[in-house]
Amino acid sequence: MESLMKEYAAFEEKVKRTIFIDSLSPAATEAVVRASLDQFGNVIQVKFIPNYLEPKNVGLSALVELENADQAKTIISEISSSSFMICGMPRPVRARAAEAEMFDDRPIKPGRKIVCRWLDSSDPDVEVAKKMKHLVSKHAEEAKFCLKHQLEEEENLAKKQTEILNATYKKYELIDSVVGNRVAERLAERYRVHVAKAEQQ
Amino acid sequence: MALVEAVKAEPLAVLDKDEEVEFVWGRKRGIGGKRKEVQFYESFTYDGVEYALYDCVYMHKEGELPYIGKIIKIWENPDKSRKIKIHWFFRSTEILYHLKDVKVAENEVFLASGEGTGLANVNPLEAIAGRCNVICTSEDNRNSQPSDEEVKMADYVFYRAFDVGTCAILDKMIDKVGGLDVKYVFNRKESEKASHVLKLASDKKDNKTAVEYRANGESFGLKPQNHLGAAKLSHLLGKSDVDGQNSLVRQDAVQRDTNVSRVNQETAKEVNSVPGEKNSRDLGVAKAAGKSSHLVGRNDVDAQSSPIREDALHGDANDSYNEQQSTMKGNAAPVLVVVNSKIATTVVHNQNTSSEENALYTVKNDKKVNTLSIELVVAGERGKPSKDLGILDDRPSKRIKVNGSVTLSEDKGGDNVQKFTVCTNDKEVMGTGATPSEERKKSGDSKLSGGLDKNMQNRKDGAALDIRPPKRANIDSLKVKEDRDRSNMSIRKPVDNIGKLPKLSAGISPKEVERMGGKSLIITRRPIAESSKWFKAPPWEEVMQTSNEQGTLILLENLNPEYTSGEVEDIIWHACRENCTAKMVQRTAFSSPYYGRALVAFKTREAAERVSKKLTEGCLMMSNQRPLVASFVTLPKMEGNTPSFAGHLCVDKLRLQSQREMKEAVSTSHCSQPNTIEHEMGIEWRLLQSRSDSWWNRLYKQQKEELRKIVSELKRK
Repeated sequence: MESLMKEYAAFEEKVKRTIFIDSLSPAATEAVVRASLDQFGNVIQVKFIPNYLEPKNVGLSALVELENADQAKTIISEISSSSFMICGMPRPVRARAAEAEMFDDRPIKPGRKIVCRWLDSSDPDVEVAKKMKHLVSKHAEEAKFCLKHQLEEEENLAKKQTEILNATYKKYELIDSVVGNRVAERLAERYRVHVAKAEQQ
Repeated sequence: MALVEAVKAEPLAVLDKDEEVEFVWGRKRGIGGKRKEVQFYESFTYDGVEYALYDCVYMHKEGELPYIGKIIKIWENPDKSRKIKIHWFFRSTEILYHLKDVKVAENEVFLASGEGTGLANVNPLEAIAGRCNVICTSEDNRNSQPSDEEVKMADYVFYRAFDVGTCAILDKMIDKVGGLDVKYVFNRKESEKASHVLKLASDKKDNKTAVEYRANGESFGLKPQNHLGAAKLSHLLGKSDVDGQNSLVRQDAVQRDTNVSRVNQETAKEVNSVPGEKNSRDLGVAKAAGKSSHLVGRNDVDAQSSPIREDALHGDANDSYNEQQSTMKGNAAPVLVVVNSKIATTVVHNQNTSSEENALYTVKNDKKVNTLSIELVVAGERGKPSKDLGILDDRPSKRIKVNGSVTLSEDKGGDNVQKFTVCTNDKEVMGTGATPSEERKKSGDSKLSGGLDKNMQNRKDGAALDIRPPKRANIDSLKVKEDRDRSNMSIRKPVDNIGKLPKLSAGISPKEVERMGGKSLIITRRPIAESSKWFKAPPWEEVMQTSNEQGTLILLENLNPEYTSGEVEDIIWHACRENCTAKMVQRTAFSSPYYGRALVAFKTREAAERVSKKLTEGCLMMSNQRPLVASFVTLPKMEGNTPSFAGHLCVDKLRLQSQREMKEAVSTSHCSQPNTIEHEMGIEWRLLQSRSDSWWNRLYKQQKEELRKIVSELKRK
């Protein structure tokens, strides 16, 4: 029992040191995540959380174990207060403190004993239990829908931003070309307006 | 007083005639100025309230919370204009960015120090909005340590400084804090202070009595309450007072002072509209939309405060306890979900967490207990007026030493695990006797949501341990954990003896045990088949994939999210006598905190079907009153190798270029700089992220409610 408790205590300590990052691009690999977070602290381990059931374009999530809890806190507050982008722009990653249920190799909580029983059909609770089962499915559907909605919103935002980006890029290209081929200069002279000169190519 | 009434209506700007507001100079100090035309003073009486040098005051600020400052100079110019120089204190809201993760008490302020703007200002004397009781709780030996009562009664406390030049928090007071001699920073002894007797208006409103008592130093037994960050409630109070009412008359100020001080402290004698206030106070972070509802709640305070305060004055704990209990009945306290992208856990608050046990518990406990209180309240009791709930809700608040103690922000910032582990040991909290604990037990039984079964369990622990003398002394998290584990262990002894118990925790009366059928299964490690000892099991991924193809993959839902994969396998073994490999689905950003799910892979289709049939037609109830739900599942197919990911944009024309670069770079991470296009876009994404967080929170909150309702319908506990 003691050893189990110790193990669990060690596990909880690890949880405190670990951060949960999501909104990671699928292109991010362990090396990438490690390198990007190394500037904040000592990264001990990076483990991605596999996504079996959700749609695939929610982005990756990973558990990053750090050297101590302070580093974890620093990272979380840094990432939360500024846009930290890994492997692509402009969608920033999200970080929060890890929770025990996020780990797949977690030890059993000491002192927990599971007891369960079969209900037979005469049991007065059977109806309620059936209702609960329905509720469970309903909630699962609701969650799925919420996720779908979220993904749709993300897509929309991405589309909007792509448009803006392309438009802005076009503008910049235009300005560049106009300055570059000295048209701007000539026009400026004509209108007596001050404009930056193109650099000598 | 008519004079006072009249002044109330006057906007501050118009106020320039002496006869409209009572003003009297106090002791003179000296002459100054280039031509000796400026007269300095040591004190003055403004509108009936005496102010002295180095007193702390509220400074009225249009449309905002009043500022807090210390008078460091008082003078009158030759043109008869009266000025004061104010050395500022910062509220934590004002320096939130620089605080980052630093913990602050709710009524903590920071003394301005260093050099630069924001240190001190000259203001017209008429901008004073009342006196403010700020106590220095620094442990510096130059500071006369305030008594606990003084700290409790203080409007604000401070022990740290904020350097306006470097924007840093300073823990130690240097000799001259921003030009102010340090001895004026610390608490001055009574004898040094100018005597101030609050001149109260002659018409005795009840609140005046309260003030007199306070001035006389009588303690109400009020305790400060720590929690998240800023003193939001005083913010709200200030707001409703300040709105449209520019000249803060002494009367208002005094009343507000008492309100603020009272509100800053936890007391059982709080008014019934206070639950509304306390909600907002508990909120701490004023990001929730529910703030306005609290403003509404707050307006009642003035009207209703009087009768309750009388009770408070009498200081009889029990009387006001009952009264408060009854007053609490009528209130449906709204439950608010605070979404803080930084903290990112669902924090659900409830009504006030105070009770008379305060009087009994003189222990100074730290922050953890506060989480305790709140978490327990979370476990089901929400605004339902009933005697049981009344008791449950009146969680005794711990007297928390304000000086340097950490607030709940850390707890709330912690993960759900912490919530569960820390939220325990009510034995201290609940030790008021057998009856309340039984009631609590019963109501705890009935109002339960599965995911929070740990809370219930712990509460039951507490109930069971009521029999033993409640343990006192400082609780720190480790000790709490140990206690809980110990209590779990010791409780299990009677459980083992009794044998078949569907519940984990003790405190179950023998009567209940009899009601249980003999069908309970205690899950232990299942026997491992011989053959599997010979070779290592293939990794889960493979197992899952093969199982998926063969159609033998089952999704189990409605599990306790804390279970591990091994436990799931054991459950299936004991319940259905089938071997399987299971994997709990790991929690992610948008997993439900109340449902655990697991993927279970069977070797044969028949086995899978058997299990599925059994679980669907029959009903396997888990320890936390939840039946397992099983369904066949096929994993969604992967489309291509790299699934699309919204949000990572690329200018089309440059796409080719960047792809080449990307392949070579190992890491391309950075924080966006404010002068780039990506910065704005990044912010839009963060906005979307926090919006989606709030959707999830709302959804789960609602689901939790529904779940709880159904569980409460279960007849057999």
